[in-house]
Amino acid sequence: MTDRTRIVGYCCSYGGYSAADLAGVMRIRYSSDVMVIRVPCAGRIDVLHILKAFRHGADAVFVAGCLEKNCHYEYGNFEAKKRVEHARRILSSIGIETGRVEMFNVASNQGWRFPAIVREMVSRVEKLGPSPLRKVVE
Amino acid sequence: MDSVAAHVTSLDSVALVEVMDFPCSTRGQTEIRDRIKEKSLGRFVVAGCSPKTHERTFMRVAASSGLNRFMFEIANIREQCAFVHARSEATEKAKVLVEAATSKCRLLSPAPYELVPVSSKKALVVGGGLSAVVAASCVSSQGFGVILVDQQRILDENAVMTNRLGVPAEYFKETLRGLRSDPLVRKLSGSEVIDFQGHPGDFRALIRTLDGEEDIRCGAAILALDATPIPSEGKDEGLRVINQTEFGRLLSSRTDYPERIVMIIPKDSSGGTFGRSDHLDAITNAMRLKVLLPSAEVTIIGSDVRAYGMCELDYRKAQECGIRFVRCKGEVDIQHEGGPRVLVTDASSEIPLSLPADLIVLADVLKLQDAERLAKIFKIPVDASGLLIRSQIRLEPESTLREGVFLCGGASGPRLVSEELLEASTAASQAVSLLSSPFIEVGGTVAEVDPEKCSVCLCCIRICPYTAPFINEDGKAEIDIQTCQGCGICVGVCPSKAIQMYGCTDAQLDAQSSASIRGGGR
Repeated sequence: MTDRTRIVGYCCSYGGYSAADLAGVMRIRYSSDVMVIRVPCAGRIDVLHILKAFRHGADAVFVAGCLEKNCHYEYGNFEAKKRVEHARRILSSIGIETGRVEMFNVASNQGWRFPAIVREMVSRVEKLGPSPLRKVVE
Repeated sequence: MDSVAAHVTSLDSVALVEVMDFPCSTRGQTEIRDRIKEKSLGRFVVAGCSPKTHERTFMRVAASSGLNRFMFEIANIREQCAFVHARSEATEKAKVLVEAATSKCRLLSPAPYELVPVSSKKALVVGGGLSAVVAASCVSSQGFGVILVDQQRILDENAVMTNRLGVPAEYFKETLRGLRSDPLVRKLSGSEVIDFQGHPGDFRALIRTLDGEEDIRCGAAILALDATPIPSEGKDEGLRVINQTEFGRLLSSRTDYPERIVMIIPKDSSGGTFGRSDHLDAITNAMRLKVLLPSAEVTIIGSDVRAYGMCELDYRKAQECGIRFVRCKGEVDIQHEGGPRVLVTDASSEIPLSLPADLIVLADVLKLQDAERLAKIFKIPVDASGLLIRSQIRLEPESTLREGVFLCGGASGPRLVSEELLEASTAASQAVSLLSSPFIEVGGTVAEVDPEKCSVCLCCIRICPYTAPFINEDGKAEIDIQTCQGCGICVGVCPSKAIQMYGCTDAQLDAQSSASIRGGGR
């Protein structure tokens, strides 16, 4: 198990993932601690995916969907928001800080926003320290 | 690159690792194809550019190598790695990304894929107004059949012409004449669509005509719904308050024009949905009156004037020919005792004005005819103000969430006449591009229900934006792969975990996140 910070970002193909691609094209540097997993729509994300990422040892998890009311699949991002909230409630009930999970809404042309999201999550992990579940994982 | 390759070689079930300059080039593609055949590989991972740009290329490579076209995975080590991280960090991250892609790739299964023929080459156009006429003529001029359905008398010049202000009359009359004698266009007057089933390329519409019900096949459908002005009530009561359309009609039918006119432009009427042409209607009609009766006194009251684009020129011309514009503050009151007059406060001087008027002209209040009923039949969602929702305004304008059904006219909001004309031809060309293609690709990363696990809770049916899931003959949910768009919202919502989707199963996502977190051998 690596002792590096690990942040998992579930990114929807049309919003978050495209913004991350654009950030690359714009050559905006950001922390390599973030690992992007592409999903067709943020609405594909289930509470389980967030919880399992923590079980694998993630320090933080975020979901990046399209802007609200601008989801490629109409309302997948709203569904994702609900599920992220649900995951937060479950995590807080076992003593994991809710700040480790966040939902973001990004448009594909907001390349600059993806590095900002990464910075936000990295600074949260810096403040909170490694996930308490890491010990269990090891 | 070599250290990444070395790391990948050490991974489970990896048969071959090759460093290539450009896997997407023709040479690269041939090389991949050759290796797959030589070593009889079952799947492959490409570490390189973003799947957003290169997915389709490698789909073709997979298909031409005899594999299912979805049996590969792309690790994005360019846009999301090499471009954004320092060299040593990028190398380390690339190892993890390729490992994650490999662990997902290991779990891929062949996705369903078929080409469904577009069997009906006709378009159904619903509506009888301006946009319906334009859409129908655009489709037929490209050689495809049209079935034009409207509740009113179709192609009745008067019914269509008086509909809206600013209709280019000559062009329109000519189009109407052309349509009347067009053998490709079947006109069903006094008819309505009562059911609509099927798939793009092969829809079935049940139409109630004057002679009974008729089953009609079509490949695409265009809902060209027109918003029509609601008649003003003032006329009947003898009050001198009418709307812009009625005023326009008055200008063309009478010669005793009123001298003093006050026009009122509402602040965002009805929440901003139906006020798009208010400003232009007022300016156009005011100018018409000024030409017919130069001594007329016309005042236009509004909180602002939105004459955008080239219409700014009309706005200036209107000011130059003596039409008064009053920017108002607060409410505008109409008084009827002792002759109608309009009470208003001028915004810049804050002086209350009392303007006597022979005629007060209000903005049109538009209403969409029959929209909600049609939305239900065509299974298109409506927004809070009863307007039909378009799906992809930027990429596929005028398309709806139901593939093969297009919108134009006022169906999804108020439009200027020029915009309506443009949208009608856009919708028509989208329908034609569907009708003219021999096949439609079906399948791919679609969702599938495991009937063993399905508890028939109807969650997927309620949540799907595209109405793809249905309850089949066995009483279990089933997803129609022709309708499924592969968003996976139902997969996430299914409480029984009975739905999985190709290329994004729970197991694949889990493997990917596990490898993303623990991978890289650091």
